[in-house]
Amino acid sequence: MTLTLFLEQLVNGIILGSMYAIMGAGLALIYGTMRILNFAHGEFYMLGGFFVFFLFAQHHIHPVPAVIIAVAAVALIAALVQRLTINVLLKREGWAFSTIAATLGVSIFLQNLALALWGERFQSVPYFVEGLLQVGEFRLPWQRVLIFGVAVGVMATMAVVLRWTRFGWAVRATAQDAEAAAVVGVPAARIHTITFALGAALAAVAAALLAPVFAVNPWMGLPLIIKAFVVVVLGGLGSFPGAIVGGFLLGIVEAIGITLTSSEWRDVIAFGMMILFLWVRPWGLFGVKER
Amino acid sequence: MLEVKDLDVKYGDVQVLWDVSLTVGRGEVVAVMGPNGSGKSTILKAIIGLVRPSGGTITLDGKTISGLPAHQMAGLGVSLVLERRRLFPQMTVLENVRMGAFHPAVRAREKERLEWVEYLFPIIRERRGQLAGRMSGGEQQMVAIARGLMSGPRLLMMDEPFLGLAPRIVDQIVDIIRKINAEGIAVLFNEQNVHLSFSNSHRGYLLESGRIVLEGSGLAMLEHEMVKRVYLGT
Ligand SMILES: Nc1ncnc2c1ncn2[C@@H]1O[C@H](COP(=O)(O)OP(=O)(O)OP(=O)(O)O)[C@@H](O)[C@H]1O
Ligand SMILES: [Mg+2]
Repeated sequence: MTLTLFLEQLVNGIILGSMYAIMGAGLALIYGTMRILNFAHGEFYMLGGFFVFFLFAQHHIHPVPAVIIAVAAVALIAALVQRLTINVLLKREGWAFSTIAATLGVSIFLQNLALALWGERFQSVPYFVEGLLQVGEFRLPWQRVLIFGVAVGVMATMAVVLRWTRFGWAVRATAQDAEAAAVVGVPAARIHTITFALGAALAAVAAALLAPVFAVNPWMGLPLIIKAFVVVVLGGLGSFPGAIVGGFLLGIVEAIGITLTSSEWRDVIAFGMMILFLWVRPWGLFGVKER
Repeated sequence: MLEVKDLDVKYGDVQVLWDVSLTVGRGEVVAVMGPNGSGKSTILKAIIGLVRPSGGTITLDGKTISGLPAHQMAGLGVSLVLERRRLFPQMTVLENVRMGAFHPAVRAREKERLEWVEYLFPIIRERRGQLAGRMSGGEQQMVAIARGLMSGPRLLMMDEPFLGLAPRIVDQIVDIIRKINAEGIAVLFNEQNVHLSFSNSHRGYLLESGRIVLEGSGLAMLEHEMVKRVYLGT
């Protein structure tokens, strides 16, 4: 294998890794604040993809407003779903199980809704930007550069918001101790709704960017949510920075792994890595070891 | 100022408080003493709105506050330091303290209050950047009380503020209670130990299995036959 080919694979790994990171970060944000594994995460991703398909591919709206509208719409739907299901269940006993059942239900419902609305065919979305970036022998489609740039921008923004804004403080406080947060005046229920919507919005951003690469169909969320779970395990359940590092790590290891074997091994590599982590460091890269 | 009348609380089908009535006057220090599981924490949680009473009323300056959600209470001048400190372990000391002024109604005065609690607890300035979860129990209790004071409460409630602390730290916290009370803040605290409860309060209540069985001035409670016999073994 030539060095250029290897470099290309590595760069592709990093770019795909940024998508895993953004998916995982959404899942981690929700788990971190509510202790809920959101099994509908893949379907919020799928909705994001279809909204972009609808707005950009079918109605030729400029990609920038199309993506923004798609992401906002997914966030809104997620907020509604959270209000109607999770918010209600969290107050009751047995919420740990009932919320899993609820998000699974939402996931199946959204898949069937998409099937009814758009059919089961793979539908393609054109690239937002055409052309190739060329440096010497090395080439990269601009679409992929865009994916990476937007992903990094979005994650950096989220990190800044969590670290330095009042809203970010409220999210972190609620995640660490919901009762103590309520006592100092944080409206936990509202924070939960907004966080859930934000997590889903991150999935929608990933979908909007990847739709032109992978095409859209009702089950497109499945492979991505599985990767997001792997990422969250690698990073440490509920850790936002952990999910970002875990995402890039997974992307890079997968890319190197498949250049050494073949692309059918991609998922085997991902799960192998997850099992290895569960074995030697079950609390993940950034998680805290439970005593 | 605070008046709790005939308070009943149930967890599911199990009732844990029966007809609990107590008052805290302006500038008073009041102790609720009771053994393990008698319902001390539940009283404070019902007042702050973390648990919903099934009966009775809670009023603050004549206005009903029972049923209000906990996140509104800081704005009404009521603050609670939860049992076992309950700091945000992954946030720094300064972030924890500043969270105490989160409520919109008290936000504007965050700066001056920070100076005030730093004066009461010099450790806050010394350790501002340290993660709260990495501090000793006594240090955490100081930060927890400071966080509770950041909203500038008229009534500060503390759930077992001396729990598991060394005698030297207990003395410091007793001292802090005196200081903040001298500034006109009413204090309502829980405790399992007779002496800690009643030598550090103007008035006290004895709680047994969810019912108030005795009340009186701190001194009277210390001297009471029943208290002496059951809790001091004399
Ligand atoms: N969330 C809950 N669900 C069910 N029962 C509870 C809950 N919290 C407390 N209880 C029960 O209510 C009773 C009173 O509890 P509470 O915590 O108020 O007592 P306490 O006097 O503060 O005890 P401690 O000294 O251990 O802090 C106990 O029997 C306890 O088991
Ligand atoms: Mg208690």
